Amino acid sequence: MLGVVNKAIEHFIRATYGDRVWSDAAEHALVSDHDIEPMLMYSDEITYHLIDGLIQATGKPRQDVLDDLGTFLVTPPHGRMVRRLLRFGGATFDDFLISMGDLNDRVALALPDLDLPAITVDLCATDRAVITVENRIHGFINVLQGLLRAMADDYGTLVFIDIGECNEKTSQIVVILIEQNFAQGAEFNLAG
Amino acid sequence: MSDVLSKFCPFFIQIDHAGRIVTLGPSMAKVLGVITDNNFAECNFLDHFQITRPANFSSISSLAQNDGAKLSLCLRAHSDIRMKATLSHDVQSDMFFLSPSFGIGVQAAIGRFGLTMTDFATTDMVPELLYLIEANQAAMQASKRLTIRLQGAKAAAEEQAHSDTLTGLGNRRALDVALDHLITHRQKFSIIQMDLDRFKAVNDTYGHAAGDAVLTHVAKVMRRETRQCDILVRLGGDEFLILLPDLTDDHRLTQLGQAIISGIEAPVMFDGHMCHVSASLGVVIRSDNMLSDVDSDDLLVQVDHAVYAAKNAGRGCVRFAPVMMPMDG
Repeated sequence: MLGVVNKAIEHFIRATYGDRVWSDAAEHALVSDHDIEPMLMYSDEITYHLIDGLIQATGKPRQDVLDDLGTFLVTPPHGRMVRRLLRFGGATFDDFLISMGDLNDRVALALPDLDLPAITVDLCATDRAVITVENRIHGFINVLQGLLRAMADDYGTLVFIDIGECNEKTSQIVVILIEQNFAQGAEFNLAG
Repeated sequence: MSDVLSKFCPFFIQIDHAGRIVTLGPSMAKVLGVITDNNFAECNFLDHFQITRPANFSSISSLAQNDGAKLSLCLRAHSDIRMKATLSHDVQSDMFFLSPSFGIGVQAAIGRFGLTMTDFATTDMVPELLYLIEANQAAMQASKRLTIRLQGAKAAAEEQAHSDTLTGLGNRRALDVALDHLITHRQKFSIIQMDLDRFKAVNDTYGHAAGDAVLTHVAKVMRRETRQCDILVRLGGDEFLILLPDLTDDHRLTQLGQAIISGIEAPVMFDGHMCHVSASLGVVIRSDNMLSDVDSDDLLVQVDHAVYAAKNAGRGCVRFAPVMMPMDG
């Protein structure tokens, strides 16, 4: 996995649980606690060990930790850039949801080495979408769930998001749009 | 018609044969700072825009024969914001239609006019372009930070290294460590420092690669002529130094110095050229009856003076620094 994933986990742990917990997680993954390089490749095991170490250190349920990580990724100040790049996906939350189907192509334009699982988006009804994700990175579906919830909030859209059907190859997230313009939403300035 | 155009091409401008703006797309209205309305008939297109291409442009109506012409234009109120457009002439109504776009300067235009994603047609690639610009900037920044960190790490590693990369001899750092060790343990020793003679001429005549070959040759001679326990140092450039623990006999030191000089004087073949250098050697002896408060800097200054004495004596020879006598018996 590209180091940027581990670096994001580092920022998440330091900001949420403090430097001590990060040191514990880093030790669990056998990495030096300030040596992760975002642009270098690391073995996938390191990422999993970082998460395991965090769960061990905090005693929190795995799904909650991953969901929080997803939210953290797109929540300023740390998530300012990712949130901004995702907002280019569309002017409204449903446009954004559809753009998640291009997420891999979008990511590849900027970071060709960050190889994310394939994502497909099916609009089953005007108020219902199913997002299917390839089971290639353990826990990715939970991270995505937290991320989508935070993005819906950012657009001011009221949604219900839950994990849907999961099988050996894929996992699903079901998004039910309750109200598109529920709240004002955060400002998005195209020019940056 | 203009409703359709507004969706497909929200920056369109419709101009009549007299050059007056008839209708505007909603996004172009935003750019011009006007409210799309019917009272636009009085407004002259050329009051707002300057045409920079075609070069011989005189009036809009003169382009009637030139359907599909490419125009370059800029706003009179913002001459730094450039646009390009296709001009289309509808013969039946004698109307002109223009579809301006900001091209590569779109980022500046968006900032200037407060444009949002909904100001662009759904099929417009502008949001993707902006995404790409920002995503690449972020990735470039991360890569740049990595390069800077790696450069820092490399410099730190070089700083900490104890050997000269070309010759494999010790460097200044290795010398300091060894010299401190000898002085703190009150051991007797001597220092030979040498400067190469005519090295600059080799470098200038045959190039740096030839110079490097000579330096490597010198290092080889030094290794051959000295003992295992001696510390061999390249101080930088063509300056070398040998630290000789326990060896303080001036006769043996002279012999050693001369052996080194004759070894160095053996010509080095490089790329078909004979490179010929020699060396001037200075020696300082620190015998065991000497004062213990003589520090390493004093010794290095003295040995340096001895090298100059050798150079002044005609080069290619060995000179000793004056013996440092104990202050009291």
